[in-house]
Amino acid sequence: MGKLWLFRKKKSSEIAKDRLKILLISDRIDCSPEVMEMIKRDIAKILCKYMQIDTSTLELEFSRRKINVFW
Amino acid sequence: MSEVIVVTSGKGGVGKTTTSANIGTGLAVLGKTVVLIDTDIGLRNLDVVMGLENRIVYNLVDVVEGNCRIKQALIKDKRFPGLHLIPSAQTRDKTAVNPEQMKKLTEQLREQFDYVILDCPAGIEQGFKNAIAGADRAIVVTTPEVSAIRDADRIIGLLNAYEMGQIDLVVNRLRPDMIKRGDMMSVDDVVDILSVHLLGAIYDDENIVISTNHGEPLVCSDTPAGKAFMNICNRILGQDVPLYSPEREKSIWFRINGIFQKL
Repeated sequence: MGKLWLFRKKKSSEIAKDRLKILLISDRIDCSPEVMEMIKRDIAKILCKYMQIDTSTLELEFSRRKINVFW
Repeated sequence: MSEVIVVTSGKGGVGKTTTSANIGTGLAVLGKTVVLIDTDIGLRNLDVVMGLENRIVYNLVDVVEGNCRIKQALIKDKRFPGLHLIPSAQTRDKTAVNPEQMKKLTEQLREQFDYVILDCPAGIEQGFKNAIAGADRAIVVTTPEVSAIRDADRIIGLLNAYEMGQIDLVVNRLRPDMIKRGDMMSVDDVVDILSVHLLGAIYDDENIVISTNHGEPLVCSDTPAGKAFMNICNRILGQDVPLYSPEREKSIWFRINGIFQKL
């Protein structure tokens, strides 16, 4: 199932929705995408302190309900 | 009890004026006394959408500056009893009016009419502040596009900051065919992103352009947009009207069909 999901091309409405979610979060808290990137980098740094992870492939996703981490 | 409603959106061209005209006309058709106010000073539009452009003598700025009495500036719509319009000034700009003056005007109109509907200009500057000053509730119009939704979110934030009593959402220009193929966000997607109460959904309808060409609101006509606007008017009056949504009808039908196939 996971593999199928990866290969499926995202519909443009889903892309719009995902982009908007991130955009509105940064609009609401008045935080630019660069600052978000810096926050992500700092989170990665903290994670590295406690576990072995490859930061180059680390992907952090901000959402209103949960934070997903893929690597 | 009378109510002052502001129709706003942030972004221009999403259908504020059309929504104002149709909600105003719809409420008048339902037997209410209504006054529509065009607050877009310098870019007058509501008069031409309503087909009343030839009857303007005085405008909003004249009323506020005391050049005429309110009664003189009210244009009575002969087609719909109870419907009135105060047009905006074409040769002045947004600074000709301030929020206190608008508040005073809406308070005076509240005594005469059941509904005062303010058509807000695009943007978040002086014109927006004037329009929302005297309003009890706001209707935020958006389309299922990223730019319009982003602006709607900003407007909702500002309305909350100004302590607007009630904020409702109208999603305009939906295209069921595009939603079905996944190329347009659905009503549910938009509501999910903005997390605000949904007042109505209007499907993209070419009759809107035709009715605007004629200068006749289509709210009482037998068209998809006309029905959707009428539903919105009934919801404003407090009735519980189900959302007009072809794709949801199809999905329910799909489910029932599925059950029969299993049997």
